[in-house]
Amino acid sequence: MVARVTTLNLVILSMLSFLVPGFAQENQAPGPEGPGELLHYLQENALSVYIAASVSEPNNKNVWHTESKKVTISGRAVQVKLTGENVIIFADIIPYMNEDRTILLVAKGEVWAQSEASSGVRYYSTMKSLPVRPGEPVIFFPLGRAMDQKQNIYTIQLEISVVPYTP
Amino acid sequence: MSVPEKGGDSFRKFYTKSFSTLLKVAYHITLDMDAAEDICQEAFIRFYNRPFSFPSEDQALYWLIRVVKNLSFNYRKRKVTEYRAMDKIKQEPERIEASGEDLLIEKETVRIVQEALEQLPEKYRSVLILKEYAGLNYQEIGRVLRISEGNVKVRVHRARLQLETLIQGEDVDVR
Amino acid sequence: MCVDDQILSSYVDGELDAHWKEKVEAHIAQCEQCRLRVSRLQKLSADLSAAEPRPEVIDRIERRVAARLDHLLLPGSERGFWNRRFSIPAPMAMAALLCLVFLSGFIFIRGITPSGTGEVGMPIADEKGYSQGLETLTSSSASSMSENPNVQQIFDLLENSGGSIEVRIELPRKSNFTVHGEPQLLRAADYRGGESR
Repeated sequence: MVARVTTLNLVILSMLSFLVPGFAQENQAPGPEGPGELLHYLQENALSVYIAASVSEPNNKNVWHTESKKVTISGRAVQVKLTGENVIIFADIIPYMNEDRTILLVAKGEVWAQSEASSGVRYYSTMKSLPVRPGEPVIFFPLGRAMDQKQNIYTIQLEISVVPYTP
Repeated sequence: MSVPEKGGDSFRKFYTKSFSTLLKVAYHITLDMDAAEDICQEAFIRFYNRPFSFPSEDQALYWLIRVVKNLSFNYRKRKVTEYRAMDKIKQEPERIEASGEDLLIEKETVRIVQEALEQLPEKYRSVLILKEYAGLNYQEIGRVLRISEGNVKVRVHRARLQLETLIQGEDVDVR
Repeated sequence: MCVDDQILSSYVDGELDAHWKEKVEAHIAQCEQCRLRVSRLQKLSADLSAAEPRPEVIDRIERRVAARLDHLLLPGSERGFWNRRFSIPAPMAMAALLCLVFLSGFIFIRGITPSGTGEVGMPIADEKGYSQGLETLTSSSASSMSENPNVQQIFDLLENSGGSIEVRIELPRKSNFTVHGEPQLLRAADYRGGESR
């Protein structure tokens, strides 16, 4: 089953993980103590996540658009819930800020879609990641992209960019 | 995790506490103990690999239940597809026999109810399995499935009504 | 007048508050029809939960999976699976770890020819070719820092909303959305550059 393939992958992972300082040990970075440190910690780690959701027709014409901006900290998800008549999408957008201030953006998607064929609901989940520079926009397609130009296929996309938070 | 205990003890305790619930959920959906075992193992591997902590142990458990539930239903659907492709059945999937050993403690009425449960659509089956085998209350079921408590209440009720319809149908045939 | 069947169902599950519970109990004391209905629902519930796997079977499987987990994860380390601390490393170390998770996933995927089942490394593909990765969390994923109530308070201030950071969007009603491909995460520059295709 999946176990064999996963095993080898995990072996690689575990071998690589020993190279990461701090993983094999259990220490955590010292947390903020007191309001002064707290503020400093936030200033260092708070991130603004800008999300623009849009729906486009096959010819890439944009038929609907909405925007949102949220503040989070490195490692904490901004959860986007998109609800439609026959589909529900949860997209967790999680930015991780590295020590060198580059950002790893993780997009986790869960989709519940009513299939026309049966009366059932299909469930899909995915996890994608991409290293990005602050402010660099990326696009997440939770339902994928239709590569051929069929009628009546609407594509949902989330355009995301992350910058360090400034009040 | 906000669980403040040191070392591996707290994780082992959590594993022991949650394992049987997860196995039961997996088994009652897949009806295949080997598959249920694989699925539980997979769920804990994913749990180990996911990069975030949970605000509470309960949340961790709900997450695991959700993973097990989804993996189990996916497994079940794959099996159904295989059976249909092989043209073994015409309508509803037959009961997939568990491995040889006598795994369950069963009586006749229990068996009838079990068979009816298998025929329920996924959303009704899920709530009943979480209620009767995972022992969750409506609020907890709502958190696992991400639906409202009111919705859970309605689904549990409708699931029971459908079960009764199916059981009555079976009784008529048996007699 | 008899009690609504759904209320009886909730009653059997112990989900009614004290007020309603009393009312129902008072009613069924006098109403045989409802009493029979309650007893029927209880039997249904009992028959369902009676089909439990034997405890010895569960124990055996639990131990087997525990042994396998210990072997699979962190092999060669005397710590094993069980000594992993039940919390996460700080975000910085975790970011580095995540890079490795995906790096190793990609390394592995390239090294494998997909088998007929389509299962390759991580993420795992189902028969339709959609990748199924890890599950998401329900509530806000918290770094160890946000367990500190002061951070939470400041957050709420910044957000003007309590709890998890959520964006709720209702999709346009007229459209029928379906999954029509592998989910993707692309740089906008790459996406727009490639549009001329």
